Amino acid sequence: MENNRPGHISEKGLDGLLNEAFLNLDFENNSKNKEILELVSKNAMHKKSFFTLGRINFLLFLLSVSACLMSFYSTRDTAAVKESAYILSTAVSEEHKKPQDVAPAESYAVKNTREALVENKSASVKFKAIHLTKSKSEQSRKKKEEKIIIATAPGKNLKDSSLKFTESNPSVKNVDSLLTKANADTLITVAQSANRDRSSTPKTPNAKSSKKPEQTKVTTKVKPGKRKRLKLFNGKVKRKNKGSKFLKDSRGKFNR
Amino acid sequence: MNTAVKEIYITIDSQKVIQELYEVYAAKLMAYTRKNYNVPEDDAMNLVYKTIYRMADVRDRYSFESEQKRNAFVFKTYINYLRNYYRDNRSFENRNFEVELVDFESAKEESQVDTNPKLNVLQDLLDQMEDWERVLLLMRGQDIPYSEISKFVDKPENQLKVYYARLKKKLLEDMNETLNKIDGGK
Repeated sequence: MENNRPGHISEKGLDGLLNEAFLNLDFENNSKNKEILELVSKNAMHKKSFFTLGRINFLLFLLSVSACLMSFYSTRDTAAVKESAYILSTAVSEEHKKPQDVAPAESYAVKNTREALVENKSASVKFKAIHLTKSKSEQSRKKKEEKIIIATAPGKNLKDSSLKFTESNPSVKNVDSLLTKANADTLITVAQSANRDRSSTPKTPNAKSSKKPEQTKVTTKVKPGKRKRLKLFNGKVKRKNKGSKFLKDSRGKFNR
Repeated sequence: MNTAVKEIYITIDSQKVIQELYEVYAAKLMAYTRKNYNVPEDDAMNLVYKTIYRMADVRDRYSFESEQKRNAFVFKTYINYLRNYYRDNRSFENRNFEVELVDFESAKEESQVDTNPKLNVLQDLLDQMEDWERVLLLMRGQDIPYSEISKFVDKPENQLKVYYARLKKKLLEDMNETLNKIDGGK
């Protein structure tokens, strides 16, 4: 009914009319129209299915590529896992070996420290006290046997402290490099004074057993590449110094 | 007795052919109709069945070089049925139009002179166009890709898109102008 009334036509209406006009084409006599009809029939009747030859080929290619990648990465991963397993096994074996190897390493460190202290006359110790003896060569040169005794902290021996020292500073591998001459001199003087004290007190390396409040304490703070003077607090020396300050009072007695 | 057996045999064969044709063409023809023409579903299905039965009837008369030729023949048959449907449908509309709005005599005259003024206007305008322009508009209306059309009209694919847009716009303007003139003249 509406088609019979001429008036405004929309774009959609024009499309419909064009399709109708296509139906009115002469497909019998006009060869070009025949070709057009064949093309349209080809387009309409040969609807492309999803699995075309090209798509199947493309899918096969994708599958093969993904399979190759999978195989490559799986072999790579297994190699990496094997490598990591080997590393782990070696690490574990080293861990197991460590407790056995600790003792010689400690002794080596102690030996090194001792030698460094004696030969280079330098010391860099973090632990509170170390018993050191001079080597035989030093003894023959100086013709005097000195025993460097530094009171150890209660419950700590040389082995433990040396181990702690080496472990706390992993960067410090060579103890000799840290030892300085000045520190060694100071230590020697400290040791001498300690010897003098020891002559009066019984020689016990462990301070806890002696339970004496007046004990030589050496605290050093030596960082790699930095030298610091040792701070010495000797009760006796202090008292001496104090006494020297206040020598005698008016009555001729030492005033402490 | 022999004739009865023969008839049964033929019927079974026809049914087989119809079933095969239905499986191959029915869905495609229905999709084409739904996409390009505003035809009710039942009517479209009816047209498809008509085509299939016609093909089953004439299957012994024709031999085709290839599957494509066969498809083209089926499609052409279907297009003919569709054209007839539009013609019949239009005549039905005309009959209704006659009864309701105009007196019988004047309606009879009008139906003899003109069936669809819009389509006639379009046909006139298409006849005025160049051949490649007409082909472009009609083929694009059938959703033929530009790449295929470019082979027909010997023009680059990218330019065809621009040409199509311009031609359609111009055609729409011309049609509206012509239809307004016709409407004003009445």
